[in-house]
Amino acid sequence: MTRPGFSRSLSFPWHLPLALALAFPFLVLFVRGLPHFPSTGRDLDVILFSLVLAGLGTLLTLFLALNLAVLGRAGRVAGGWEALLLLGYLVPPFVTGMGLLFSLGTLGVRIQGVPGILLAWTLHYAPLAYLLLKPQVGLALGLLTTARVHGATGLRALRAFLPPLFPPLLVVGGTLYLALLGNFGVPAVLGLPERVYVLPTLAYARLLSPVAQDPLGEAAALGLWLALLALPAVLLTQNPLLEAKEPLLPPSRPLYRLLFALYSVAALALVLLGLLREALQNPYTGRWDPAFAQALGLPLVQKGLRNSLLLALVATGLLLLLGLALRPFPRLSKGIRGVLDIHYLLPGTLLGVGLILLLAPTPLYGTPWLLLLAYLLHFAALALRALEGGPGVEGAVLAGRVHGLSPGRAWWRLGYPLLLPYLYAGALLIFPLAFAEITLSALLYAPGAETVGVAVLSALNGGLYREASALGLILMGVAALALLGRPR
Amino acid sequence: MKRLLILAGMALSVGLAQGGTLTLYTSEILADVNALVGAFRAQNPEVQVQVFRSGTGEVVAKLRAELEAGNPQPDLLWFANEDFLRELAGKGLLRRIPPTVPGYPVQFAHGGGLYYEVRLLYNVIAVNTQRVREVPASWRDLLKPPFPSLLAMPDPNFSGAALATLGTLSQRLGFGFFETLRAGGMRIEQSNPVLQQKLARGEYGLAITTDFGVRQEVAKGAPLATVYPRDGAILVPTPIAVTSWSKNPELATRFLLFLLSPEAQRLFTERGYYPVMPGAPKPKGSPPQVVGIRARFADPETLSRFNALFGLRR
Repeated sequence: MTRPGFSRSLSFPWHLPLALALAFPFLVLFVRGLPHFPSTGRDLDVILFSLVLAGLGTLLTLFLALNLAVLGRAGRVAGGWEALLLLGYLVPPFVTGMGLLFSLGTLGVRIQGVPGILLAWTLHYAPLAYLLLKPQVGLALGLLTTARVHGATGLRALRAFLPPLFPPLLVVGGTLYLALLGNFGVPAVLGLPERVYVLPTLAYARLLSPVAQDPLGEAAALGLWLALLALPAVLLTQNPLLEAKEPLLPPSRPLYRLLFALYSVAALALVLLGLLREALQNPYTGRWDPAFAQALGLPLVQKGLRNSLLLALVATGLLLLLGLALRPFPRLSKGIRGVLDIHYLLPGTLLGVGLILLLAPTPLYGTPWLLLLAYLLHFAALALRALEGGPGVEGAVLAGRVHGLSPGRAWWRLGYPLLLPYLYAGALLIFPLAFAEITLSALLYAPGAETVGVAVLSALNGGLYREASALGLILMGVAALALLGRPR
Repeated sequence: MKRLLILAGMALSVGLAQGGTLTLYTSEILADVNALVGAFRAQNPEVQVQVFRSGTGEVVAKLRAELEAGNPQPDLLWFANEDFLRELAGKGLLRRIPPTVPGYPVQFAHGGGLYYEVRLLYNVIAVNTQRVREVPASWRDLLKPPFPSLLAMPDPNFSGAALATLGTLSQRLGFGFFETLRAGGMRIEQSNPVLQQKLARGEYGLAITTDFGVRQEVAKGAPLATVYPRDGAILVPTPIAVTSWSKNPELATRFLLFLLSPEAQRLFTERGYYPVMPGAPKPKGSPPQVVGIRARFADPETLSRFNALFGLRR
């Protein structure tokens, strides 16, 4: 089958040189890490454990998100409740971990180690998976309704419902798996006291190790393992299967809406309870003592808010434009996404080190542009992945072509409008991540041009946990406004 | 003629440097650095000071990568990793500044002025007074039950201060000290700040951690107390140095010496640190006299033993 659009004019494999150019920061690390690769044999247990834990977390999160998506679509959940669900995703995972720890501590429950990490991951990433799965679940529910109309019930109805969801589940699972595999914050807070190590925490420990002969090289070698473990997710591709235009949804179920709302409130409360208590109340004296004024009064915060807002807006905008520009060329897009996935996965510290090795001798170094470049490289995979969705887009463009539209006009008039919800999901996915990004900016920000992430980190390192909590809540508040104002 | 031009160029660059830019790489708390930079700039308004502040690990990783790429940026280095400074000094990458400030204790100018302590920080026993009524008075007291089961310390693979605890105490009390603590249930946290937050909220009763951070939490009302052990609180080195590649060594030296001035020492005290200059006031709520022992960082062998004992990775 020929693909609609411009594919025919792209017989030259453009993605190869492009991917190679994009891979440079990783190649630098590869060269540094390779001599130490054999010695990573002693870390085989951590490598396997990272794989299993990220896999398990992915399955749990997918299961939860799929249920939420069904509840949300079948219950016709409105913007407000959905925004509530998504809020939890907008604090940095590190803050989620601490919030969860203190919330459950208030309730007298001590959660650490593997269960703690899995719980924090599931709570934190389920909203993201929900957002990515929702359009597909809507279409599958339409099929379910059709099947029911034709008399299919029970298992047979499920057989109509589930198979069309497998491809999107695989793709969303790939995104989740990459996010969990590369996550540092949650295992750092909840794993280390129980001596639970994953590759990012181990790589970081090695980078700082007082006894390593070559800290950069040894940490880079673990980065190579992360890239290897990422391969299955990187290779996942999606074939658009569903062509339905308007989903034929089953009648609205208030019970589903209630369940959805209950989960949203409970999940948010579990994280927020601890953060709110920290931010509003002196945890020692129990006195009402909001820390917001102190947080906003920190010398860094205002500058950080401004810089991060600007950086995140520019990065999100550029990446989504890039994603749209590449969308008509699936082969090119998937080719370079393979490289970009690795950049998304590498712990920020390692990507940062690669960029320094590569760019320190250039005039770019020490300017805010370096951080923008790092954000673009780090988050580009998300933009491409978000826009890879959109079943029916190819068909619509093909129809336009049959009716005589040029490829450009067919995409402009038919393809891109169908991608709008995916564009929105992509923006919602990337903007908060870029806005509250910590590890890349901790290494690469231009002296004097701090980001919010640097401010949060600085507050945490200075023992200002209450201010960091308040800052987390402020970030959520800002994001909540954006969520409430989103198109339906 | 050529020589004259070069000389003129050098003179010009020195002249420009007087009103130049300083770049400081540090792991100090940013609010503290900003206050010090502000005070320095009030006296030297023509000097721009650019601060890159991050965790010690990030600062060291960044500098290592910059050195490898052949374009190191900072004029001044200030972080809690004496080993790395020693490594740099060994390669001739630090500029020696003779310790000529009257009254400055010369033992804090390492290697005859390769790097300086500008204020002091101790590892002490921190106590959550709501969980522990009877307080240990010495390091050895920590071995008495039930103390080990209430105790935590930061991971020496992450924290330079903890590496100092491990090296110093295993040398003085033998490695068996840590074996007994482990058998009694001592736990390991990632960093001092995380440990102090958990201690303050009662997750632990006792911690081996830095005095300065505990004092800050006490000021916010945390039920914490610091115990400076009878047998000596561990003095954690957090030195500052001028780099050999600095294009503004005179300015960098001026900044370093400013940190020893009465004004800077007063700023340190206000922020809970012990001043390094004799006669400067002591921080609020701290004992006037501290028995300090010089930290000894754990060697790779000791650290490996510790890691094996606690199941830690590096």
